Amino acid sequence: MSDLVPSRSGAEPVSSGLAGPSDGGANLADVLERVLDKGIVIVGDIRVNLLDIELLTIKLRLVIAGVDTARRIGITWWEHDPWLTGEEDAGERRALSERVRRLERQLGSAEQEGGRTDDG
Amino acid sequence: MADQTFAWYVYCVVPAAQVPPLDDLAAVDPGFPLESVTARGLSAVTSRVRVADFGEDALRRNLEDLAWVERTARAHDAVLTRTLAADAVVPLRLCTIFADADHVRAMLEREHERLHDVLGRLRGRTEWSVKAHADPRRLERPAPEPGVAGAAPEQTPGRAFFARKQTDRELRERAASLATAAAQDIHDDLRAQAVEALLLAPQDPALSGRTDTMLLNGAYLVERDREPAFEAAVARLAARHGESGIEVDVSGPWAPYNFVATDEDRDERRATAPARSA
Repeated sequence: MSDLVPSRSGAEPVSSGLAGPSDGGANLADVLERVLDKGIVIVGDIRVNLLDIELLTIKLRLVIAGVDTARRIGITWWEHDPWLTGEEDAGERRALSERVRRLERQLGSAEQEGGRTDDG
Repeated sequence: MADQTFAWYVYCVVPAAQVPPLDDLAAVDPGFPLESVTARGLSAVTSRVRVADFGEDALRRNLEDLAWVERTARAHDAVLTRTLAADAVVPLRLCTIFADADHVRAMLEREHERLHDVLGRLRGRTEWSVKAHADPRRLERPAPEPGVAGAAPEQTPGRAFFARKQTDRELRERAASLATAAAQDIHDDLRAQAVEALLLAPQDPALSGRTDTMLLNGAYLVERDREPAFEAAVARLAARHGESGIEVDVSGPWAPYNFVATDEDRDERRATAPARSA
């Protein structure tokens, strides 16, 4: 079994073109994103606490530096895939931004009442 | 199950009598052979595991150990890849475990309608993964224009600074729209070649071993007889986008992990999503 650390270190040039599974096995990220939270869910006798699995997946995803990099260069369209984000999330986002707008309006009128506006 | 030493780990379900030879493959516990349990025209591929490793408490501990998860996940996937030799395969989620073979049989009895439905939908189809990567620095590099490089040597340091910032911003914006357009182009093209298509979240570089940015992580359910056309499409896209520094990789065939869920399952999942983010 290979180590946790991928054998292709960051310093090496990445292979290009139509790469199949490299290093004699599929990319660990490819395997994990499939077996951990995909596949049909059938309740067995030993209840793996699915929350534990999800916790782990979430932990893995938290360290997705790639997401930040993508966001930095403006690649965010996948964030709006309703299946990935959940529509309730979108609703929550709307509610939050509405709240922020309201607070900003209140803050704005309070500042005007105070008679001074800061100029950057 | 207080005194129980062993349990049965189930990898997947295939149509009965279609279990390929599995003797040379290691099970999730390499000490036990892979065997099948059959009922209702369905065969579950299983192997014995020790409750000391796969019991509830042990699992809770082991699932936090990435080395253990990797070993188990790779063994699980190796079995699934082998069963692609069957007409269709329903992958089960990692660590679906039963007390004994009778309980596996009872599960097949209980779930046979749903399992037959999914097998019917997946017959003759496999999953393919296509990813696009780019090094943002390479995307942001200006197109070589010999005349421009040495221009404006007379600028004051202040002016030069702001001019450079302006150029950087423009290059970044150009890179972003280039990358988005490329990812969209690749996904649209491949979706047309596939029965179903899904966008997955970008992967963790620590796991993928990549240092560049993942622009696309697509999963495609492809008819077996369309596989050559699909691969040709990927090759065409790789050539088209390679010029601008975008790398397109394909891997497959995978067991159809991403396509076992019906639309209703996805709706259910969507409905439960906020619980996880709370």
